[in-house]
Amino acid sequence: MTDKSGDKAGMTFEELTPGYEFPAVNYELSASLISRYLKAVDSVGGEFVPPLAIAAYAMTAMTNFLSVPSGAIHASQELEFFKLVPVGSQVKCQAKVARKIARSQIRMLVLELNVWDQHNEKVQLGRAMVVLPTQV
Amino acid sequence: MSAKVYQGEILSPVVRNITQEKINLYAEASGDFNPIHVDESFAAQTPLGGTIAHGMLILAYVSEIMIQSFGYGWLGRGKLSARFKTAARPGDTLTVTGKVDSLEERNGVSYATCSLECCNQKGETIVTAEAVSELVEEREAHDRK
Repeated sequence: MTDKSGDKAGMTFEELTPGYEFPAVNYELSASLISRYLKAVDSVGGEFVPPLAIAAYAMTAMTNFLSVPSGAIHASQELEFFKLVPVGSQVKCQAKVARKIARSQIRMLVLELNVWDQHNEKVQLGRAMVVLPTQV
Repeated sequence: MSAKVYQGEILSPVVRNITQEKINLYAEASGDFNPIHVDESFAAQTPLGGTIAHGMLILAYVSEIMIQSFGYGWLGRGKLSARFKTAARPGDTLTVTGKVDSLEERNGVSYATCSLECCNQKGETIVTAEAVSELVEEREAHDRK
């Protein structure tokens, strides 16, 4: 989750098809990770992980499989949280391409993300619409 | 917390200042180094004309108003639907406001549906959102973990 490049090695927009499932990613929502997140968002923590932190790390983990062009922006986001997630939990995230839209001046991806905890219980569902630049 | 919630209630606003330093800090924390957020010379050449804050950073502020208002109910059983209307930029002061639009009970569980808006200092809307939170007492939520 620390790739500092804009364009990452991974599948391109052209290669993706609706329904494509990215490989699942496992990661720990460690105290240090959540502490850094809370500092970055001007918030204070407790014993549970903020749901937006779970979503942010799931998005980042997923985009490591994508060749996201520099300048891609977020158009909309839906999230649903199903249970409290204690700091230190292990989670598994998997994403799939829900929709792919390509028109003359615009390219958009709708990505669906699911996150489960170490007990294989679903903790979060998300749908993100990302607008990709046709040229920068 | 839930016992005090009523339809039409105005939620306590959340105010945050956006700086390039905060954007960079969020990039470091989240691992999202898209140059539209962190590379000022790159961003200046795009139609946006400069760097913008991460959408997920803005949503963290939107979520904060729900955390403040609903605590464990939001953290453990919440739903958010958000649309980004325009970009937030370094120098912006963002204010997230919200209102409880309705209260309902389904299968013995109470929920509050809220409309939320995040605006900059010029009154421009950055994000509009609808959020639904379960209403729970702190003790009950804690026992569920």
